[in-house]
Amino acid sequence: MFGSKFPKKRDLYLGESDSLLRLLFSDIDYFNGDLTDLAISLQDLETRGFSLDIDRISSKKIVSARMLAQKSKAKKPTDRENAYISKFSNSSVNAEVDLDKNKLFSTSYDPMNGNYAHASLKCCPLEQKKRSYYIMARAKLKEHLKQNIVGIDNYPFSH
Amino acid sequence: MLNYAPLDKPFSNTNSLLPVMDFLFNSSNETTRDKSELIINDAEKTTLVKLDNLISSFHYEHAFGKIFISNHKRLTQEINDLILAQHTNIYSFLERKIKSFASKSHLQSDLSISQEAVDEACYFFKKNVEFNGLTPPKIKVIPMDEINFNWDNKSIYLDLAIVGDSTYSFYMKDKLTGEELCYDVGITDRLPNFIVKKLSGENVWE
Repeated sequence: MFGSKFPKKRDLYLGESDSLLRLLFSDIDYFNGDLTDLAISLQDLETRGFSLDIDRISSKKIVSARMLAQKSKAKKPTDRENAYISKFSNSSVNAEVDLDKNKLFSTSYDPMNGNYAHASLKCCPLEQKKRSYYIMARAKLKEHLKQNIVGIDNYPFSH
Repeated sequence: MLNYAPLDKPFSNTNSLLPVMDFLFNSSNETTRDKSELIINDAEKTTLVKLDNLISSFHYEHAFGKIFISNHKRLTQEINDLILAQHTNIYSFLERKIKSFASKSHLQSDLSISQEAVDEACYFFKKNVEFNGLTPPKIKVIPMDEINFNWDNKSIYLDLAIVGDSTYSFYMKDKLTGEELCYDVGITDRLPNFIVKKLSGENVWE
């Protein structure tokens, strides 16, 4: 399926120098040049993990297939009319700290069936975290996500 | 797509302003507003306005006493007069909007909100926003049963969630000092005074 463009096994990891990608849709995630509150689920940050792709080994074919699958689930045509890619630095997001200067996020290589470039981001496990903690995390992650957003058709995928 | 157009009455009719008000403070419509246009029929001309352009130039002062539309001076006085005439209490308008979240038909189909969340959001709104005359926040429903109040201006970012569990939770960043704060407090507790002060002064929208 991937031919010679399939990354080598030794390249399948998430490193500090990697960039991370997030698929966004307008209008639901990205509206009028800014992220919406729907772009980041508190439940993703808390338990499920916020899905990302590792730029270095990401595949246009895989991301495009996911884009089409998610588009088909749109409740309204305008919810997922256009797709975008947000790119941000793994090291920068890992450098974020909470109000007590504890590390806020952790990212991990998390390959999934059909997507070898998948990575996950969660809030670091701490005891007795309350909702306001995740609201803070959402606000801080939003700053990373909105730094570099381009239309998916213009994004130079590695594979 | 003309969500609120054409308006079938002259702009001087206060009823014609209701769709604008509804749009501005109905957060569940927010994700579709770049497709929205507004035809304003005033006595002299018909103006087609991209609603988003109109909204982006909206600034409203303390207690909704004045409205400025920086790029639409021709409309500024008219809108200001009409709002003052029709909606002398913007807080009543917003409270009605919060109550309307309880109606399924008002929400995006993949969202839901509990009656408890609506009741507590109304309580918070009256005891904090209305009581203190705060600049009206953006109010919206977002996933996981959350009614979200958001203030984001030059001096403060405040993201506040109410989910109907007898608490409210917020994250605040003072953009001038860099001070950050996050709290989970009982729904009957008032917003801290220093936050109220930042959200109630006329400097908020400077």
